[in-house]
Amino acid sequence: MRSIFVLTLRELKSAFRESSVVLYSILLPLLLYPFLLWLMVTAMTFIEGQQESRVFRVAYHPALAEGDSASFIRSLNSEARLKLEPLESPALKSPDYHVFLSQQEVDGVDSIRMDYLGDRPESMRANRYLAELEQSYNEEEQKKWLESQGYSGEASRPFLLDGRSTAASGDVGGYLLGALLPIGLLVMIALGGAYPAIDTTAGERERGTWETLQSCAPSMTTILISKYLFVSLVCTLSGVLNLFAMLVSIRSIVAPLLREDESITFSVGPQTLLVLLAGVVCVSFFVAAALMLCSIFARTFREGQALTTPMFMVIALPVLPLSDPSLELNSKLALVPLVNLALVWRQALQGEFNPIYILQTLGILGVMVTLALWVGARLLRNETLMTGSGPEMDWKRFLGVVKGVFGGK
Amino acid sequence: MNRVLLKYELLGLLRDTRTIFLSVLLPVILLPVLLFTMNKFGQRASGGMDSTYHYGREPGTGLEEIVRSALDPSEFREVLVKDGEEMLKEGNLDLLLRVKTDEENGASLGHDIQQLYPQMEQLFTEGTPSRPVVEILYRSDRERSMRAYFKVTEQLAEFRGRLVAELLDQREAGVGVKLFPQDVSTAQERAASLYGPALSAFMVLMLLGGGSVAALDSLAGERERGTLSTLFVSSLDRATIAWSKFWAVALISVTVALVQIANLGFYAFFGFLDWPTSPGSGGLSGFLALFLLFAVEAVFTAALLLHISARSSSFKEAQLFFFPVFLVSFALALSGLIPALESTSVVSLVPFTGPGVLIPEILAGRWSPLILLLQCLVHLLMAYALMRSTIGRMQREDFLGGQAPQYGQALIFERFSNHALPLFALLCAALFVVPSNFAVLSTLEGQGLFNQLVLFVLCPYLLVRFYGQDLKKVVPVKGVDLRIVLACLALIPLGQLAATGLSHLLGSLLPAPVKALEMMMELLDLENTPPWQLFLLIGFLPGVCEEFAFRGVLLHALHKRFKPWMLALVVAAVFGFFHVNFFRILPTAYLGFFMALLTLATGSILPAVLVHVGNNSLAVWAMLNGMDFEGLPGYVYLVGFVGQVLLTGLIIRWGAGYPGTVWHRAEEDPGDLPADPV
Amino acid sequence: MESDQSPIEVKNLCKIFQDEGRGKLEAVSNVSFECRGGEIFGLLGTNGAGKTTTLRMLATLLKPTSGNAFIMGHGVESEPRQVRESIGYLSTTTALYPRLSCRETLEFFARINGYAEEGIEERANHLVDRFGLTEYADARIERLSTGMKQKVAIARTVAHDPAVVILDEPTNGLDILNVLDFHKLMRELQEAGKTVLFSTHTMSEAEKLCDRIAVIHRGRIMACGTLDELRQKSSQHYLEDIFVWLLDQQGEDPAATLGST
Repeated sequence: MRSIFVLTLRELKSAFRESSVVLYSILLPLLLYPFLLWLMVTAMTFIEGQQESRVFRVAYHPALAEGDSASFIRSLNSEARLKLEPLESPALKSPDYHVFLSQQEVDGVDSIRMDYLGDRPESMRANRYLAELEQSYNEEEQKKWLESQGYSGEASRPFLLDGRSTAASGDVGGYLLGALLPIGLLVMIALGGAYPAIDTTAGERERGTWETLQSCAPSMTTILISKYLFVSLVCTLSGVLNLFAMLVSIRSIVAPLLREDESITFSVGPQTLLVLLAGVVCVSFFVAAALMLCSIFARTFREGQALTTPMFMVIALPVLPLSDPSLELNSKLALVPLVNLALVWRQALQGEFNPIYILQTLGILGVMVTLALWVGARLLRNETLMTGSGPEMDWKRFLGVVKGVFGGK
Repeated sequence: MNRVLLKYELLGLLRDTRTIFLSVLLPVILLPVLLFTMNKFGQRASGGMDSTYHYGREPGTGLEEIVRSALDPSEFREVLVKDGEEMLKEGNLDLLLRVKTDEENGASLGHDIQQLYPQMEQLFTEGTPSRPVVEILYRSDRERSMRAYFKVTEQLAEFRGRLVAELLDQREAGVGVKLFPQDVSTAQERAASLYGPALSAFMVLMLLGGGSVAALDSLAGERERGTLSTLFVSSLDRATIAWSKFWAVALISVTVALVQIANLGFYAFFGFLDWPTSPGSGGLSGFLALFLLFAVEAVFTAALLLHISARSSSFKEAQLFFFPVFLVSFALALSGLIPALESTSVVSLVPFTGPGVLIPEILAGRWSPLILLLQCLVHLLMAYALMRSTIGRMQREDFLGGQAPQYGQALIFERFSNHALPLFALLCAALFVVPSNFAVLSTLEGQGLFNQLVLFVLCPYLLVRFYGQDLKKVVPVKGVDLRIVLACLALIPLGQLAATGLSHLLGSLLPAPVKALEMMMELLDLENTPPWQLFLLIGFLPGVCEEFAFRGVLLHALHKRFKPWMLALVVAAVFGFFHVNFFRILPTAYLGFFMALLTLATGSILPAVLVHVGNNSLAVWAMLNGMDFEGLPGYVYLVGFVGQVLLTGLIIRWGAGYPGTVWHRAEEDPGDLPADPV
Repeated sequence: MESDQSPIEVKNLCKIFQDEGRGKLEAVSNVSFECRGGEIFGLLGTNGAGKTTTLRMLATLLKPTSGNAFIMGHGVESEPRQVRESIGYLSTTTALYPRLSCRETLEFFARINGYAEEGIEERANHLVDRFGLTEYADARIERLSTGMKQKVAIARTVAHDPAVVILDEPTNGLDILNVLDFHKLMRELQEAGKTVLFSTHTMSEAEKLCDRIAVIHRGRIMACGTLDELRQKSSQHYLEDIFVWLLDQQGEDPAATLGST
């Protein structure tokens, strides 16, 4: 026991004196979200500024200036954000014009056809802006007409629409957090743990300190447990810092995206926090086991990185289905590692706790971690793998090792 | 470039089978996954997913009629309601509809409506008719409910419009217009706007992600292993070695690009990807254009990676530098997503960003060969510039050998210096995030207390103490010549003018939204804040505290790592970033640059404090008196700028210089402690 | 351990490797020797003779294919942990943790090898003094020169005060002053009652230091005994000549040997 403690402490000491670890596990989690936040706010301010000053170029067929649409065209001319130009037929493909208006008869009624380009955001925005102008113009005309007939101008709207959300602001917060948090946590925990996992196995082999350790009193199993504990701890730290940074930043991230009448509160209750933290620990232990299992095969740091990259991608795969915010935990999904945990997080953030699924999730993860550790311990006793220096891992040697591990050598 | 070395470098790279796997096979496998995801995403965006929404309707006169007439039965299905709000909460309903009366407008309106729209008779309650209001309840924490809400609002509004239109038709009113929007873009063009940015980002991802390990290892790793020294003592000169390595990496990257294009072509050919088929609008020339663009990006990437490798003392360090470069490049490659950007703008001069905008245009079949040429040229020129810089580095004497190890005081200072920037980054993050969680900190007083005193004074002070540095040395407050003081006083208005001029210049290129400016004025709340408070909180406090933090602690921490001009630039950039708001960063950094120069010139932060306090106070005074520097003629700003430059130059001439830098004119002050003897 | 048992006993140790390129490789074949308490024992041989493999088996890094070895009465296969607690092992492939300081390194290795917690600090101080590390005690290993690193490496080998010290080519790459210092250290260890087993291919070093020598070639012990015994047996004076004589006895041409390792 004491050996495990001493060994783990040494690993931690060495790790946090290395800039890479401090960067990926501590600085990055704390700085990333504020930075993203700043980026988003800046981008939005920039785009908004651009949009406000953006003048849409509208070309129209000269015939529109006479006839029924004339007053509409006049009203458009008086809009500051539009620049109108009469043209027979412009080439809309060129960036010179955003929309083109021409006469069109629909059901025997003279209407205005508005050509726009759906693949160009500017053109789409011009289209929407003109639709808004059409609506307000029509409303004005209708009002005027009604009043001229002796009716109230308001009668142009025979009934009103009033929409509102019955969701409590905490619910909305939970929904948004549930959409963003699981993905972010998964990726950042893996990122924080990758470097220590590789460094403590392949990195040590490369530096030669592996043999130094091997020749000391503690057994291989003790050494493995202490390294595993170390990587899990770093992952957990990374996860906790990420969680903290996310919760602190998210209000600011979302605020600019809200409508004026909405407000969002993000109160994370103690039960939710507990589930989140427990989840962070579980993911950390799982990810640590997965990464170390890959990097044990490597003899140099570079090789270790190459071997863990596929594992990294596997861990990141749950991101794809998770991008659907309405995905929910069910008995089938509860069996898929990582996805199940991410969904438990999501549900916890929305205030739902399903003990059965939670237990199932923990169970699956526990089984996989134990399996990984068992295989790891066997691998560490395999001489072919552990001894000597030489060329990098290839299939022949890999198969030999696998045979050795399961053949009980 | 040497052919023999190139051949061996290529061999070395190609024998790294894992790199081949990562840069060639993996993208080939991933591309269909990407396409599939984009497809699915595109479908969802256009709302083509499963949607029969369930709505409940509470009993209310006439609502049934409206709903029946307005809503599309294939999209909306009614569900019997018991406790509507509860059902909505549970998720058994997507929407809940009710009707109430419009209290504001009186009975006369109701009367009018009854007369005008006889088909709506059932809507009105017995007795006094009034305008009905249809209430739509939904849940903003469920996507389905939100989508249902938007749809139902659309359909109800449309129905309402039809009612009015019918009325007007009947009475032959002849008012209003009808716009019929027609999307004249082709499916191919629409697909291009979707796939384009994804493709650009994917390409950068593959170029930087896949082959980077080998490229980064090429100089840094070899230096670590000692094989680089072996090369350096061969008959080849270092420039040749660098170019050979470059071509090895570039050739492989270009091959990778070719493979990816072929892969793309495969999918386009079999119809998984909308592609311009006619040669006129794209077709084969489009493929060639894409290949050319990817190839030059590959060449640029090779130069970039080699440069990072040359700057790092080990492979691990190279990877550390690589990570932010990777993130930034990836972000730039997504430039196609920003709506306002077109390739015929200054964007084409930026690597990765230009292609990010051009690629969607190529896919849409409307690209300009001239712009393509321009972007290729830009990438190649920058690659060349990077290589020249790399070679310059490699030719330095100390390229192979490390620095002498530091012990004692020098070691502690080195740690202080290395940790300063990350710690300031954390402070910046705190500045951005903490106030938004505590409303009290967002007020003027709150900012004064938290930002200025805690972040800019307390935290840097703790930093200095933690690393055992001498505060007097770190934040020097020496007195200066009278003539320098006078020059500083003159700098106050001149600097203000120059900065305002710069703001204007910036504003004409990148207009600031009205809302941002309004928010700032709200914060200041000129009417309710007494002038002395404004002077204290905006004029005096920032002038002292920010100087303490930036021109004091930060400048001192970095003064051994950079030459004076570079140092001033770095400190100014950091200072600018702390001002967070995009439109304030540049003018603030501009002033910060000059203040850093003052500190470096005189070896004391007092001139900078004087100028800073003066500058801010001047701005407050102008605001209070309703004056501003905005509307002045252009040449006034120019005068300000020229005056600022001249005076600063004079101060640099007259000042004693900052100890420990090349500007220091040592007399009595011995500067920093020498390193302990090894 | 019984009082008449030697600290190191090697009995018919064998190690067969499965090498990818060369097929079955018998690296160590029926090696037997013993090191008596308090003596400096040298394992002498050319590169690839099997010295490192033998020592690694003793350090429990490799499992013997057959045969056995006992360190302080503990079997390398049956009681590996006790074996490792009793030995300090140093080899060219054992390195130090770059980011620990000297003092931290010494304390760490003392701790994990079972040294009593109460005495750790004192032990570290003693080692720092003895090895002249005072000025660099708190500097990180990565900042030290090669010579200093080697000193620290040897210090950490004996950090937990083991009864047996096993060193694989310890003076490889050291300059003359450091080599002399190392020799001095060997003597000190011997005076303290430790048993030292080290391998080398430098004949003069073996001549100077060792009480007894075993000459190993192609995985087999060619001869074992004191220097005088070997001189008598071969009628040669210098160890190099003795080595060549032994090769000759095996029917091997030393010149041909050169090309075959």
